[in-house]
Amino acid sequence: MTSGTGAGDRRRSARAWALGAGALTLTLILVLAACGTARSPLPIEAGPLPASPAPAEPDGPHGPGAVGGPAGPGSGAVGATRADGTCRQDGRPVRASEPPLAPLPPPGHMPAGSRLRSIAQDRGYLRIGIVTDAPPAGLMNWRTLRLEGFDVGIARAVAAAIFGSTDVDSHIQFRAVTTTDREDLLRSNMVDMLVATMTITCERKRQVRFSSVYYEATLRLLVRAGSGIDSLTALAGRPVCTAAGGTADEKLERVRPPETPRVVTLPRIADCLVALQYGDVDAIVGDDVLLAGLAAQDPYTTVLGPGAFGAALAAHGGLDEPYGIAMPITGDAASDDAFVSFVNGVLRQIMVDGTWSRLYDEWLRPGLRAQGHPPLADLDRDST
Amino acid sequence: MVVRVVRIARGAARHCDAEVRLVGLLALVVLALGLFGFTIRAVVSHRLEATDDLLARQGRALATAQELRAALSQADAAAAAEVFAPVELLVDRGAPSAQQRRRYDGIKSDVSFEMSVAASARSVLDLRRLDPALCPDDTDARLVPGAVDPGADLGRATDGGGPPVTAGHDQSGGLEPPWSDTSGPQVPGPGTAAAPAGAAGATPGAVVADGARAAGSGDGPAAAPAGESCPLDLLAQEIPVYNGMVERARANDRVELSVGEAYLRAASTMMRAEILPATEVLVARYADAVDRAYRHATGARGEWAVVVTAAVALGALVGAQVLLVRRTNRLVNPGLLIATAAVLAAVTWTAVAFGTQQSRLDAGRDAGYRPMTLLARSKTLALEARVDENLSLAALGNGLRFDEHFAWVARGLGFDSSGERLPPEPVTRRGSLVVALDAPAGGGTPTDLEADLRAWLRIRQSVVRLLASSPDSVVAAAHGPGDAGIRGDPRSSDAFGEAVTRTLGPGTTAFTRFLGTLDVAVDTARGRFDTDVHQAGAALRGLRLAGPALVLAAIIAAVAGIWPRLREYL
Repeated sequence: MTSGTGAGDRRRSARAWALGAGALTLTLILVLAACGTARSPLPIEAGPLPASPAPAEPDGPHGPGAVGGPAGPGSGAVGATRADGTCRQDGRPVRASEPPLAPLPPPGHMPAGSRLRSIAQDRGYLRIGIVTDAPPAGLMNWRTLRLEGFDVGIARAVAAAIFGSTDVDSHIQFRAVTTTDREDLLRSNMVDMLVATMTITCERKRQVRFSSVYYEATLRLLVRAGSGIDSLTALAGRPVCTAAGGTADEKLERVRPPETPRVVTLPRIADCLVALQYGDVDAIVGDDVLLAGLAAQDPYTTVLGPGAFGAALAAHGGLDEPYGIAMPITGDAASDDAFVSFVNGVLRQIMVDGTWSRLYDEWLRPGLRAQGHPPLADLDRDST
Repeated sequence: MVVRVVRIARGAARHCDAEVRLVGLLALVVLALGLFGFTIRAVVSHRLEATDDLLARQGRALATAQELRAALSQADAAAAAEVFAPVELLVDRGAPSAQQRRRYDGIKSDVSFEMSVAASARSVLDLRRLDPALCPDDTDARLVPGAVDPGADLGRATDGGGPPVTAGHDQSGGLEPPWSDTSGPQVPGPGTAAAPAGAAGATPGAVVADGARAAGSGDGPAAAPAGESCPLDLLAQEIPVYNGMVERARANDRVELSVGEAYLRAASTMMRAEILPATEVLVARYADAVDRAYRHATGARGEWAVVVTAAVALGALVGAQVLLVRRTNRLVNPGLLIATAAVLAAVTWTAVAFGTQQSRLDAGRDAGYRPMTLLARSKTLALEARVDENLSLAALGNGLRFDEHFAWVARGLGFDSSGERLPPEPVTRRGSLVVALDAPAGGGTPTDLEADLRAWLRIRQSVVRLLASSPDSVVAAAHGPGDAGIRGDPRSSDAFGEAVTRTLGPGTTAFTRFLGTLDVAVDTARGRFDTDVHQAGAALRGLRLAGPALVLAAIIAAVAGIWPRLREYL
């Protein structure tokens, strides 16, 4: 601002003062009226949430150790099975289990002090893991809100042997499982048993106890009918889908390089059908039961015969997928043995009394179109 | 410095004739006034433009982007509820026919999946219209055969079209198979899908993404990430694919094929991993645009320009008067006096107009913009929670992840799972709904919003309890500690059915009421924002003409005032 430097010139000083005062007033008016730039950022709370600890996607990654942990099937593959087909762990064949309990205690009268007793009397229900989206093994029927399928029937039979056959479902706590979280559920003791299309393998035997075989499944290929794909050789370099955490993945790794298909693993076998229908994969590898269930849902597909895998893979029962009921290893070996033995007894009983055949005819036969025979041989071998 | 300039000017003037000095003075005054008039016009125009832009484009675009997000979330929720379609009418199994008919009508009138998808498609078009600059119109780059063909990316074998895009192009939106969330949309922007896309690194789906790509014949090396593609393109491509996936799911469900559930899961994954993050990019973009428009509409630089030029103009006028008084001994020059008054009037008018504009904009922000964005976010979160609720129930005990996510989302709203407000934590963000409800300026926010939300959360809580306490339930293990003493109590053998019934019946009613209230609240807030911004613009509209007119009058008056003095020399 101008300041009156020339003391003698009053008028000039007065003029400068007037000027300064005018400008000052003006500034004040404007600054008071509008104090600076207004901002309008999005409130923090209106922004997106930070990353959730739990993934939002239905098929997002699962919890820890979901896909093949350090103890998963893949890494344990080497050395778990001997050349002669026995498990390195205990020197027994893969299918070997405890001898079936006979005679079975009558339902509702479990032996005192046993785990069965605490389940039957103290808790009042059995916790069973089941697949709910893989017909004909296990499926939720949304019309009736009931679970149904071959595995579910087996599970109900076991529960009926403990609680009696009336109102079995009120004594079962079903829990849906996917192929990836099966072992974890048993390890964390979230379920008493898994009847969930689980193949008995030596690797898995390190983590869980298996009953004897309740169904002999085999590996098969599902392809689009008329696609010209008639064997695994034709799939060299092509995407082939399988469920994560299953055994097919590892078996396909044995195929030698020039013929190797590209293995794509998805969380559930049903997701593989979606991928096949969108043309993202050219084949689905899985157990015959499950593939029959998928083929029943898509008339454009067909299940290839066992010859499609070639002799090398099929040799020495390489395609066998013996299903067993999995039970946890609790640390109390005697109790585990008794429990497994009881379950084997139940399995033997339903195979002998026709329940097994009834379940087979109801659920598996329409898809497999073949007569089924209960795998009694293994049970009898165990009991001798 | 001013003193020196005045001195030099005076020194120069001493060598000049009086008339030349007067002409110089007149030119100076006119120049200063002209500068002031020009500045006032420019600043007011700029502000008015920004305000109008805020009203007509940015604000509307933001609201549209939010509607788009809400519509897609709603579609996701409707699709997730599709699992229960077979039983939704069985809820009232034993009820009299009249009641069943009422329920049937209610279900029919619910906001359907189709309506939500149609609304989202309309919003995409609206955004394209509102913001043509967002997605450049280079059709050559986008319409490569196969580039916008979902089949090319999603199902390589399904389309009969040409080979997939060459490596140079970005797969135009990078439609991955929906179940592989590995490469997501990868749209850059604040707070996008970093979470799902990043966390998915280990998912088995990763194999598919690479796999499907390498499988395509002549597909070249994997294309660049879809970063360059604009979110609207991505949405325009993915929404139809998503829609088709849900329709496939419904068709399968209707004939009792369980692969329908797999389709629903795939669709939901696609929605959450790719589509919704793209809408978040849009919302963030237009929120930024609103912020920018606010700053332009109230820029301090313009204010200072007006202040300085006004000061110069007034100074010139006062100086001219002082000089004339000294030279002519006439105390008052009416022309210059009128000019000064006119300039002062213009200044006052400007000050009042700017003040009104700013206070209206502030009100629009506090009572309109903030509640609108907060409530819109609340709606998205609530719908997300609804999806989790349905997915968890449909997962049959395998839905722990959804329950955790539900709790997380409810937390984002500011509530815990039982419907109580969470205690405010000083560091972390608060709940969006709680902030909206507590805002002093948000008096228009309906208070029953909280009650409605609570009612819904309570019903869900009761469902969770029911399932946790019933041994036969398929869901119990996920909620209960396991085998903790549930012994000998009466067990309904249909607890799961009861849970579904409760979720579909009262749960849906409560949630629908909550959404309805929320919609009204969002609309109210948006209405306030529009009104306030409109009034802010109206405050300036008069000034744009009157300001320069007053200055012009001042110039004429000043010339008229000095002219007689000049004529004395002619």
